[in-house]
Amino acid sequence: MKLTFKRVMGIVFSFALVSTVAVSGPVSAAAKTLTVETVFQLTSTDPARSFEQTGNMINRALYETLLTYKGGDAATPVPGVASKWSVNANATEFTFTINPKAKFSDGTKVTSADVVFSLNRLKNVKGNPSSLMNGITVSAPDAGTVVLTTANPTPQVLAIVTSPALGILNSKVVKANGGTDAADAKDTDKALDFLKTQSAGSGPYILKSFNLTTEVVLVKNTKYWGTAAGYDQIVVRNVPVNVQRLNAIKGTSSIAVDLSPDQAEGLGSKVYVVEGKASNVFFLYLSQNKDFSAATAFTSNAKCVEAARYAINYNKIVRYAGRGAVQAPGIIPSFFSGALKAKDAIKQDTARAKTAFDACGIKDTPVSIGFWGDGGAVNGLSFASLTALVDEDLRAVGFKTKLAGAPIAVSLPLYRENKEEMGLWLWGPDWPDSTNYTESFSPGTKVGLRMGWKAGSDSVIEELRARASTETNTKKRAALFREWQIEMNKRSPLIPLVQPAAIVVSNKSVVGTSDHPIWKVNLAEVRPAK
Amino acid sequence: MKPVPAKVSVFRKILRGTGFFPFIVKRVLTSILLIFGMTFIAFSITQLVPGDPVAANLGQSAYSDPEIVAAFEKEFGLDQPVPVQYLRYIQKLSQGNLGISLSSKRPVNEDLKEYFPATLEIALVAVVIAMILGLLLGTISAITRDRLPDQIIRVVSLTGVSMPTFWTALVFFYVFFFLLGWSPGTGRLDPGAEPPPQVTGMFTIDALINGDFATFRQAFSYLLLPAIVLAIYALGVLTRFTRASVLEILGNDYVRTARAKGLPEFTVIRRHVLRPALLAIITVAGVAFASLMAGSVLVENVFSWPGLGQYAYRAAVGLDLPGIMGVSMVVATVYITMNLIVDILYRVIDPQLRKAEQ
Repeated sequence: MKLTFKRVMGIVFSFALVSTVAVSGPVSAAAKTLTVETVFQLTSTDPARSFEQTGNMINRALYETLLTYKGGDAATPVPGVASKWSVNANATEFTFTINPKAKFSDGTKVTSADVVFSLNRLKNVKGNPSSLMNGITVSAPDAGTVVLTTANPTPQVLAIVTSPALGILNSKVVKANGGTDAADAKDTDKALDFLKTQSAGSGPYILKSFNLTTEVVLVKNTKYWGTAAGYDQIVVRNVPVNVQRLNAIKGTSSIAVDLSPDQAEGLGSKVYVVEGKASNVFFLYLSQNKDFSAATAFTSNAKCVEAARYAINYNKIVRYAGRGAVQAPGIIPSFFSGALKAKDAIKQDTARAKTAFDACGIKDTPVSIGFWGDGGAVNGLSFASLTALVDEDLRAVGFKTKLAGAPIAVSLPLYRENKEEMGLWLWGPDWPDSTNYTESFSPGTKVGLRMGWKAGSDSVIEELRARASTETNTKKRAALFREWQIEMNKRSPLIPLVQPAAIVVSNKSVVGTSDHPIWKVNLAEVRPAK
Repeated sequence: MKPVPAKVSVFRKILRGTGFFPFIVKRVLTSILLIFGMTFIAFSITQLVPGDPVAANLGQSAYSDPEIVAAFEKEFGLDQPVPVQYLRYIQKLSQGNLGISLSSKRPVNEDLKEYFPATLEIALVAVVIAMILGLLLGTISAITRDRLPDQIIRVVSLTGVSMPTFWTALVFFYVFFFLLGWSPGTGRLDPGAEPPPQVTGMFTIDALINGDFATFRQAFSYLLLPAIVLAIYALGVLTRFTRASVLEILGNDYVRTARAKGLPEFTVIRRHVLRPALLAIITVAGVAFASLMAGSVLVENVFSWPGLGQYAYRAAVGLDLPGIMGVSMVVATVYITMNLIVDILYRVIDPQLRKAEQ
């Protein structure tokens, strides 16, 4: 056979044709399947060890908690497994009555023993969310009652028990598969592998399969004791954001979780956009650890903080953050008790900033700003871009700033160990209550220490924190949170910047999609449109 | 003088030998040493990164709780001095245990068993595409030197070599999935579809083994586009290399003699040109295959392909030392194995080498 160009090209085109036929097959879809696309933030489906957004979203559908929230609300708890609850006068004892109808997916009843087991297991496995149980003791006076007690008044317990990490497990099933709630559970609990292959909860869905990088499949719990699940199957897929957008436009996915406000523009007629406020607040801080470096000898100076606070063009940052974003008037997000109003927000005042800068004495000393630098972005906001905007404003009043972004594995430890001069980070709540902020940002607390702000640094703010943490009256609590933030804006090293929008894109074939600060989408509430 | 035990004597004989079998034994032994050397380098480099695996893997509240931090460090042996950590790693490695991944919280062996076949599958298809088309186009380009087909192929191959893979992946995905609808999308199977029972971990092969042609078709449809994207760079390289090799051989006297004898052009090309050219082409193909395995991370990310690249990225971002070491071991083993295979093929293809050994 003579090898001619025509023959060779014929072979090439035949190959291409066969390939095309192979790829152009129809994409099958099971009946009543909900496809949720997100960039996985997932470690497992064990409630006691999972504390990431995707894990929370999935566990919300598999496991029920004593109390929960409806839709995107994060203020008013509603019954979960508990049908009734009461709190004593000084918020140290919380009594929950378990709904007698509540049963697990294997048909057995949910008892107080299951609640005690689940909460003690969470406490003792020493996993990522275990700190939620700090200071909380759980007991069961009878099979239908659970009591949570704390040494000090802790009104936020009602918010904490809504966390998917406090999901109620079927204790018999979990124990039979290596689970334990003993004090040494961190060494002896072996139920993790089991809980990645099967679920043992009372939610409307049960776990069918779990893959850390591709997809998690849930199927309907046919024995669910509440309103039946809306779908036969839910597939939560790990999909890059740009592909989420394309699939949303094509209509091949039901829900896209991670689009930014900009990406949610122009998606066409097949979808609707659920827009809320993100629970994350981006902030800048100046280290108060005066001995750390030449720069921090000045950044710990109140005048330097004032210079930075008034140098920043907050409007520019909000414009960059796009549709739905707002300036953060305080560190507590807009939907929590005691959140400040827009009128309370700091406004740029470059004259005041320059005067304060001259008084602070830092002059030509270079100061670095640490941030998540390897393309890190949350709610569509790139840390690098945001830091660049702040850097521009700080330089305008005289700061000799330099950007010190690094991959998250490098930059996060530096921030957490108070080894930054300035830092640009965000905070998302561990539990949906304002105490999460007073207990994290005051002097001597978690983030307070990351900023080098030791206990005893500000008696006014610390007293407000103490009062807010024990106040049980709702109105008085809100007032204390507001007062605490106003004082923080005057004297703390913390500068709240922006609260971005939270976007969930939903296909029109789906109803009940909402955006929640803790579990993003409550899959149990999502149903096919009629 | 003590007599040398018979077994040792045989072993030494093999090592001192010059034949094919001693060659293989020596190469395998060297490879094992190389892999152990690589573990030391990879371990040392990972320790030099100024990050903290505890901070990278624990949440903001957990990191502030000393009890949780201590439990995490104990669980993964991070509470030990670095040399002890390395020695423990080597001890486990000698038993075939690659440790527990910090991010997936399961044995790295199990992780690799799941992710490696996915990458192997895509890389195999990519290298087959690149080899077939690369040889074909390179040969056409050479025999039509400076004419239109040659010019077109040279431009195409240069484009293939020049385009960044992540960009090609995004463009191909947009065109073939979004605009044309020819590709089914991301992942390895339809959402929620059951993978075939694992034999090799390569869905297409496993589906065929199970006689499940519907799953084979579905898995192949998902596989083809990322494999084509992955093949583009290797295709460019192989086309250009084949062209150069064929051109060099076409100028030899024995090719002119073959043509003068009246042999058909196809026979001349196949027997007298391609065969000697294969030696150099195989070397490039071997290295290309190894680099496809190691460099699939960007393609895997765009196509949500759950392979070694995605696993490596997650391990690196989370400072998951056992995960990073596991991936390094696999990549090193692939490179070493490919070099070994190429050397063996040299001896199979080149009669002069075989003769020299005899």
